[in-house]
Amino acid sequence: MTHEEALELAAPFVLGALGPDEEQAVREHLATCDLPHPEFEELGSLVPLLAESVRQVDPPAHLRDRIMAAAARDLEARTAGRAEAVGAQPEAPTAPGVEREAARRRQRFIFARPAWALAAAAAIVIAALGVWNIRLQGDLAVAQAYRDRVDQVLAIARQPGSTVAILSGGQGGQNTGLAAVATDGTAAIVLRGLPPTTGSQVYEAWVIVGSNAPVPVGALAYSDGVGYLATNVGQVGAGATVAFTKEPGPGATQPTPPILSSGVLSSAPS
Amino acid sequence: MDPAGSSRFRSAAPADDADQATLARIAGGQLDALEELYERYRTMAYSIALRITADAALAEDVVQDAFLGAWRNAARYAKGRGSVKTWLLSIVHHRAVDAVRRRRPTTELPDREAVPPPPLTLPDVWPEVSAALDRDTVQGALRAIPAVQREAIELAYFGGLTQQEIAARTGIPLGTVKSRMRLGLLAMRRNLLGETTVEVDASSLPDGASGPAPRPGADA
Repeated sequence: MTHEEALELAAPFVLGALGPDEEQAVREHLATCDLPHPEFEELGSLVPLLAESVRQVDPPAHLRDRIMAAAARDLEARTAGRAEAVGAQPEAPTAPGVEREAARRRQRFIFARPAWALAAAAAIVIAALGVWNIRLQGDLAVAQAYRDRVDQVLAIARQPGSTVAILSGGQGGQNTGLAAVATDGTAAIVLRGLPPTTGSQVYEAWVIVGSNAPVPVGALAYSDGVGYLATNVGQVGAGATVAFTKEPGPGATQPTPPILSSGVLSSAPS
Repeated sequence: MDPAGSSRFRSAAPADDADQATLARIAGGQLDALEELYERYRTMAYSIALRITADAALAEDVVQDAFLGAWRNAARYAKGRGSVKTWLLSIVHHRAVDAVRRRRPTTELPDREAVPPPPLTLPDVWPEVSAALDRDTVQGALRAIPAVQREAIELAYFGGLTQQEIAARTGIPLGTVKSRMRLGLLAMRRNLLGETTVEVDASSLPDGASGPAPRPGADA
């Protein structure tokens, strides 16, 4: 594109009225041509005023939550990208289109301010726990189920005074998860990477306060490697341990070693 | 907070310093900085998206896309190529135009996932002047230009039509469409520059203008 041709297109360019190819050609000209282009500045300076001249309408309040949640997810993806690079994971096919679609669907959850800050912190935790490895294995449904459960745990975690534990235990990101306990004892726990149980076996959750005996708080509902439990564990504060064992059946009163996964409750970020 | 609506006259430079500090934090991955930017410009961004798309749900998508674009590309913002506000609103405009063109299946479309391009506009050459202008004044300047020029500008900027589409729709030669856009923008500029000159000849003011606008910060 010659200098004269570019100048000719200055007005439609600043108004955004060129097709993609023409627009790109003008951009390339501007980036490489040393001659002055006063026409672009003169006409372009009007454009921000046009943008501001429209009738002002406030967006709905939920748009902020949508955007902040999406940005938190984006931050999570970046963190996961770095974690994957560091962990030297084998090359795995990704499905960016599918993942983006899934990300869009996930944006439905509603956070009250500043809950997204907690979501962001938790998102980093989730990434570190290896949920992205699930994605890389191509099982989006499992990743989605896990995330849905994580969202439920976060709903408790963002209540004032809640405590949160990051759960870990197995090798290579197995048996990892998140537990949250509200001040009234309402608790939700999610755990992933669990091998399937057989027969009447269950994954049992235990709360251990100080040197007291472990108290059973319920069996995890298990599906596709993801365990979830919503229960009330009573008033346990920061410092208590949440742990999991595999038991031969429901109703165990003492844990059967080994402990598959555990974490210590601490105050939730706010 | 509505930075555009709460006071009649804006002071651009200090606001842009604050915006640049916010953008630097966004580039560092700080979510609270993104929320700050959103709070500052949500109304402007949504208003322009709604004007172009005429669809509340689509306008929300556009604003989300635009702020995520800003979030991911804050480090690419080039100081000296326009204010942060101009940069952000140009992303919103670009995304909104993409969205309406997408609704017209015959239109050539850019790669959906391309990073937002740099602002369409070059440096604001008269920031002191433009910062002193309120919405009514700008609207007045737009109304004061010849109707055919205004139509060309509006079809392009708010309608999302390419110059070729405007020519086809209006039955006017492409060269005429281009020159109407150009002459219209230059006429607006002249009107607005006249508006902020104290020694203005009152007879040259467009209809409805009450007189010269105060200088920037006069009522701050």
